[in-house]
Amino acid sequence: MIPALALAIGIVVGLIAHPSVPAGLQPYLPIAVIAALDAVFGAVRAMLDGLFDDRVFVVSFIANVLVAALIVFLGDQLGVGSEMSTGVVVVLSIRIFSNAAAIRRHVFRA
Amino acid sequence: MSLLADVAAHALDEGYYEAARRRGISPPGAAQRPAIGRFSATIAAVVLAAAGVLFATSWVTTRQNAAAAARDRAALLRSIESQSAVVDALRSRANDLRAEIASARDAALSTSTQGAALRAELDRLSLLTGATPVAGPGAEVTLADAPRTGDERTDALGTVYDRDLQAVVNALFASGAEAIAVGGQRLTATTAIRQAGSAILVDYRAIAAPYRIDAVGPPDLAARFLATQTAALYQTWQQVYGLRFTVTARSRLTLPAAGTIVIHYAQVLSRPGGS
Repeated sequence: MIPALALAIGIVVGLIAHPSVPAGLQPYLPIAVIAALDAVFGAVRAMLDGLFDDRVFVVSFIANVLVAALIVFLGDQLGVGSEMSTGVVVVLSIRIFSNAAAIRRHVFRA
Repeated sequence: MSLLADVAAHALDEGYYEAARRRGISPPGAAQRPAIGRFSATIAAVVLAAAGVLFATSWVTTRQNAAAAARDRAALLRSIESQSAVVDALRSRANDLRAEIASARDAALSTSTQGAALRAELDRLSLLTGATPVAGPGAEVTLADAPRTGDERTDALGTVYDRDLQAVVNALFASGAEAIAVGGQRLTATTAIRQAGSAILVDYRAIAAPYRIDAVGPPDLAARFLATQTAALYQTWQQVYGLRFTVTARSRLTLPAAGTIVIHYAQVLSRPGGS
């Protein structure tokens, strides 16, 4: 329950305060959001599989967000920014779908 | 696509499996207690809260951007509409004032013989410069695009451009026309017929197809025009490309006035010997 509560508190704080994103980081916001979603879905699945490890979660979350933003930033510098962004979104979306499917199997079968 | 299959098969971070192996649990063990230390639990909660803030910020930012774009567009539309209305109102007011001035001037001039002569000269000049409406016999020429066939090349050959209207106007003047209006716009010494994109502008006002050219001149203007090379050319193009081209003689045509012509640079030369 505590993790869900923490997530909910974060969302509420974000809605009330709405921090303004600096203009330089605005293009990387969508990628960061998808990477964060992937880490969260992975954590939920791990929790249901009995594999959850909080250290792994923290590290995977931060690494996911940073690596995704870094890849897109690198792509921007090299001129393939939008294609890189598409690639990152595709891979992360497939992972999200797979984890969601596993979660669904847990919730509706066992 | 083994790459995509690989991505889907390893959707869960490998780190979880390795941590489980280190703790001696063989995955997947659904009923195991998750490994959560006190300190790392706090950090995990903080990270989850940060994720929540990230999601909320992203959502709010997207909505703000969409709202701002919609507001800007609506403001632009309102501005365009109001300014167009202002221009229309000013234009009609200018026309009214012009008519008032003309009648006041005529009334003032008709009180003396000198004034009457001046008024006659003024009327003649106004007719020549397009400052007053004019009526008389003449010809009406209509040009329109050929019906669309879908083939780009033939469609382009069947389209009416500014040079077509210019050629017809030139031929009408050469045939003896004294006053011409294109698309309801009277031609003056400073009127241009030009192309802007896909629209034809006469005196900076866009006119729509079919393009109507009214010319006041001798009663046989239509026949004289049809005898010119230009008319023959357009009749050929009518047969070959389907360009629509009709010439009608009219016993009485009325052409509107052109409005005031604003002169910035041309100056009247003082005639040698006075007067």
